[in-house]
Amino acid sequence: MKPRLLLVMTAYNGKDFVPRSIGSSTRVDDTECDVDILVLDDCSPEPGFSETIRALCGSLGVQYYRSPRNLGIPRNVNLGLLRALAGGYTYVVISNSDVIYPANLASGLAGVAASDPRIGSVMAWSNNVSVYSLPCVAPDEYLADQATVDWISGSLTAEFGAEVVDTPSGISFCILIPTAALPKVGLMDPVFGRGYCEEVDWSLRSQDRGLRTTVAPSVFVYHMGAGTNVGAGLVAAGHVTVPAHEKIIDMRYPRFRADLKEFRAHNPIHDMGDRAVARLVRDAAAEWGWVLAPAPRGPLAGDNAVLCSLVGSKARSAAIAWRGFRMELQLNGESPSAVLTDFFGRPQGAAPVAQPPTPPLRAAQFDTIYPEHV
Amino acid sequence: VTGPAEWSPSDQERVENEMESLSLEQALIDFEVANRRVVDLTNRLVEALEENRVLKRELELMRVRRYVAVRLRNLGPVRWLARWALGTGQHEK
Repeated sequence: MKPRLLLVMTAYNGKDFVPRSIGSSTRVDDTECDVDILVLDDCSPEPGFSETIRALCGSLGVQYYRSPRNLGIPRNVNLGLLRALAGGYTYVVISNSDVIYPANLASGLAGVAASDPRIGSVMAWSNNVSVYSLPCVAPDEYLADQATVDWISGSLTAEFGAEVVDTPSGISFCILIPTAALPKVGLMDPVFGRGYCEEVDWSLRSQDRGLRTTVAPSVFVYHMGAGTNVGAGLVAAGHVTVPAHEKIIDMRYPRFRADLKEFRAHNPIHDMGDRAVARLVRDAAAEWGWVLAPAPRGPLAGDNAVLCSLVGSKARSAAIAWRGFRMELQLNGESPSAVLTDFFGRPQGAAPVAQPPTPPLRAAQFDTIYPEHV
Repeated sequence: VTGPAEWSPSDQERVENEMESLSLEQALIDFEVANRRVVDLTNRLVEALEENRVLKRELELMRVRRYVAVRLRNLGPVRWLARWALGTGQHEK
């Protein structure tokens, strides 16, 4: 019998991006886990939003619940955790609704969680996940479509497999929690009001109970990010967090800032980032080819090829860019073309374009209803 | 997995009823926890205020003692005692 996974999406306004996230959730591969989806609308005040989302969920077989009052993120998340417990799910994924999931979300995260019973949470990797990000220039321009996210996640799965990295804390933009951990750790603490830092508190509490907080580099989720929270009044303009909540964390976990500083000093995510970008540009070059441009330039419309350019007047290295991911390759005085051909394993030029896969049933339904989000 | 073909309005209604029940129960638990926290914090506030009052008094006393000690050292015993004996109550600036 397959494990059961409940994908919980918390929503508060966002007509422009929530339907896209719901559509993306319907593409999540359920070969390794039975996947159910639940959208928790935290009493969104945007006119027409709740009606639209409810109707969309109904048409896609996605569970939907709108709280009669605004609960704030921690208590809204708790509803999802409780639902997962009550429904006998093996895993629960807590997620924002400004994301695009890869098809391998369930199998990737659950696979990592199943590798060690001491794992209390597994974060997906992303362009926007605080200090654990995989840096990308202009991700909203380059990454915000389903095919790209699927492709990137597939490439990273080939690179990292079941590798897992321990982190000082979790970020709940998209995090899997084995439901077995919930009775040990408890729910999110409502003391964090409308939200921010509740997942840090939860993950530090889970570590106190002997559980690991991890990230799975093989699962890449596009995350639009905090701009939505400023609009919703969760954080003040110019802030990326809530200082009062940080003070609660400092009081409860005096060692946390030192741990984070230590992690940043020897950040294994940076090394993983180098590996990831090298893998992505190689795989992209194999699929769409690569070009050596005389000067750095941005990609043209529909341009999937990897762009290379020489750095500096003496051309000691080559800058390599693909969809906002960048790296530099040392040339060591050799011919740039020869070094790049060796690096990519193929000569400069275009490669045949792969055909996109057929979407699953729910996704096809979504494509009909929301063609503008496909 | 329930796909769109099998999903019906009654399924949605069932989900909403279950969520309502979970939400209500958790709201009552949250209320109890919040109430306990308020009681606990109020007790701690009362204790902290009392501690604050005692510490303030101690601080004032220490300030007076330090002031007297400094005056004694700077003015010399005779001059200070003379002024004290005359009872002018004026401190030199």
